[in-house]
Formats: sequence, structure tokens, C-alpha cells
Amino acid sequence: MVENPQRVSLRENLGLEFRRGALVLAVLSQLRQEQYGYSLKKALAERGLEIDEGTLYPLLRRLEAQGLLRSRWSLEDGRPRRYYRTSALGEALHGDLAADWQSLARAMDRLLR
Amino acid sequence: MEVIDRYVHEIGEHLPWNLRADVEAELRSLLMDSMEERARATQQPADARLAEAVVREFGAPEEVAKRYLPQDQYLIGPRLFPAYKLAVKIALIVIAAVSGALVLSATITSALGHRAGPDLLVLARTIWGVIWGIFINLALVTLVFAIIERVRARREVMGPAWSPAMLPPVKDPDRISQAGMVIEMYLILAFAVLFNFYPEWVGVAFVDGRLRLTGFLLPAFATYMPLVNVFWGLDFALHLIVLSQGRWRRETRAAEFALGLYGAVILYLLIIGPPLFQLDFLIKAVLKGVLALVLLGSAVRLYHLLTRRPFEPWRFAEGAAPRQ
Repeated sequence: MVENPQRVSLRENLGLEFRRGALVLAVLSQLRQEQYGYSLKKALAERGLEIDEGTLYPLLRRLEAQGLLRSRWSLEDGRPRRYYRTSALGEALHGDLAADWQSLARAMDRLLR
Repeated sequence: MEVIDRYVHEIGEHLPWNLRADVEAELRSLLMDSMEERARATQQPADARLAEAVVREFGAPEEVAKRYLPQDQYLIGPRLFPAYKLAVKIALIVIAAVSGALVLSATITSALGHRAGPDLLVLARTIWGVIWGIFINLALVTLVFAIIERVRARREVMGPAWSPAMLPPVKDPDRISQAGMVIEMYLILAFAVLFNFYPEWVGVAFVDGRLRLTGFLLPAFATYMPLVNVFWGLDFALHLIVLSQGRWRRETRAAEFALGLYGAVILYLLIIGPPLFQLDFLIKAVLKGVLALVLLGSAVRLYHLLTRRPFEPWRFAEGAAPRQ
């Protein structure tokens, strides 16, 4: 069956929109323990959230610039790696956003039932 | 790995210098991680082919670099863009009308002046002038909008949070026309550029089929330019402040009144000064009329400032009480 291209494109765009907001919470949730970019990507993928690297790594820098993450360089196996983890502000915001997410998810569940 | 180096370097080329080295180092490390992991998973050698596959998945360098930059960086943002498009259209229509008249006038007068036909040099110069005029005018419109964009962005960051108490009345004498303010700012800039950088073009005319500089402004006029420039600078700044505040306020009305008086003083000095223009007597008669209008305008502004009501003389003529 041939899919309607308009439907495909709209689904892609609208899907991206609600995914974009969720990504910040997903990243904050995994960075309560220190991780570097690639290990974070794998951690997210293992829990079912695939995210392309070209999106994830710039997002880490933006969250750091907003004060939600802090980072440090470390030399491992001869390769420098940048490790990230949530700052105090990021930690607090993670709690707030997680509560918002749960409440939204419950509401959406009721709506979609 | 050469492909990775070229890829990382290309991304760095699209980043500001203060981010470049750090992002490049991190990207290089991440891409190598990605390659190694993939080589392990697919039992393939970590060679140039695999590197190409990894960077292809990562995305075009320009796109990736864009994601590292702060979002919403606009010269003219989406909210102002429709107004900007409209202003550009208006500017183009005005320029097209003026230019059409100029080219037509150049064609006719040069044809009349030379029996052999239109003077192609005059035509070429006129057309070049038109192209240059379009460029300058569009640049001025863009400059004004870019300034407004910056001022509005700052107001949104620093201004107070919106509340219903901030809603103006439906009929609000202090409401501004954004388009009107922009056109006025554009005119101020246009006059400032003309008088400061191209004073010889003030009063240019076609004489015997040729574009002639008539020397309309006499050299003595230059001594008044600092006063005039201060006026234009203050007027431009006042427009910016009013635009950033979104409406007229008592302080800006007072500044407008003071600026009107300053303008009247400049006009008075021009009138009583030495000969400043070609046909000095005639021009100064016109300036006297302008001065009268400016003083009348200032009186109206003073009335509005003191009573906080718009000046509506017909209401008094009708015997109606002024609107509350």
C-alpha cells in the first residue's frame, strides 16, 4: 500500500515536535550519572530512545550553556573525552520536568483511552 | 583518519572562533568512538569507508554546526518579517515610480536637447543612479528593521511581565502605528545620508537634457549641519524608544514636545541666517511656513501633554464636552 506523502511528512514534523521537548528530560534523566556523549547515546538507545548524534551532541552543549549540565575533559585510553553530568539546577529541573511529564502522560492516557 | 579530520574541520569553519577548538576536539573524539563501536559490531575494519558512513549519518557539516549555535538568531525575525516585506514592497513601488519618472524625464529631455536622439550616456547614468538608489533604500529599510528587532528582543527580555492592566483602551490616542514609525525612521535616515554624504544631490535637476547639480545648498549651510544632525539623531532615538515601549508615554510625549521646540529653533536660525540656498528668499519664505506649522504642532502636543486628551477642535465647535 502506498502511503500518503502529506501524511508521512506531517507525521514526521509533528512527531519531531513532541520528541524535541521530551529529549531534554530524557538527557537530564540519564546524566544524573556522569557520561560522555557516545555512552549517553548508547544508554538512551538501550532504553528505546534512538537519537542521532548530530542532534544529541549539540543539545548537550546547549544544556551546558543554560547551566543545566556541567562538563569536564578526561583522558581515557589516549583519547580525550568530555564527560557531562547534571548541575544542581539541572537536577532540580529534572525533578520538575519529570513531574510535569508524568502528569501530562496521565492526561494523555485518559484522552487516548 | 582523513575523512573525520576534514569533516570536523568543515564543521569548525561554520562555528564562532570561541567555540571552534572545543567543539572540534569533542566531535573528533565522539566520531572515533562511534567508528570503533560500529567496527566492533559489524566486524569491519575501521577504515575510510566506515568513516564515511559514520559522518554521512552524522549529517551535513553546515547543518550540524547550526545546531551548535544559539537558536533564533535573526536579523529580522518572523514576527517583524511580514511588516518588513510590506515596507520593502512600498519602498520598491515608490522607487519604481520616482525612477520611472526620472528615466522618462531623462529620455525626453535628452532627446529634445540632441536632434540625433537620446543621449545614451545620460540615460546610462540615470539608470545607474536608479540601481544605486534601490540598493541604498533597501539597505536603509533593512537597517531600520534590524534595529527594531534588537530593541524589541531586549524589551522582551528586560521588560515587565504582561498583565491585563497593560491593555490599552480601544480608542487610544497613545497607540502607535508601527508602520508609520518605521517609515518616519527610514525618512530620517534617508535625509541624514543625503544631506551628510551627498549634499550636492539636494536640488538636482535636468537642465538641457542633462542631470545637473544646481548647487542648491550654499556652502554656509554646512555650518548648520551639526545642529540638524543632533536633531535627526535625537528624533531617531525617540522613535526607537517609542517603538520599544510600544506606545507613547508622558515622558516620550514631553521629549517630542521639547524636540519640536529644538526643531523650531533650528528653523528660526536658518531663516535669520546668511543666504543658505539658491533662491534664498523663496526657500526662506517656505521655511517660515514650516516654522509656523512646527509651532502649531508643538502647541497641540503641549495641549495633549497637559490635558492627556487628543486635540479635537471640532468637539469644541460642536459644543460637546471633551471625551473622558
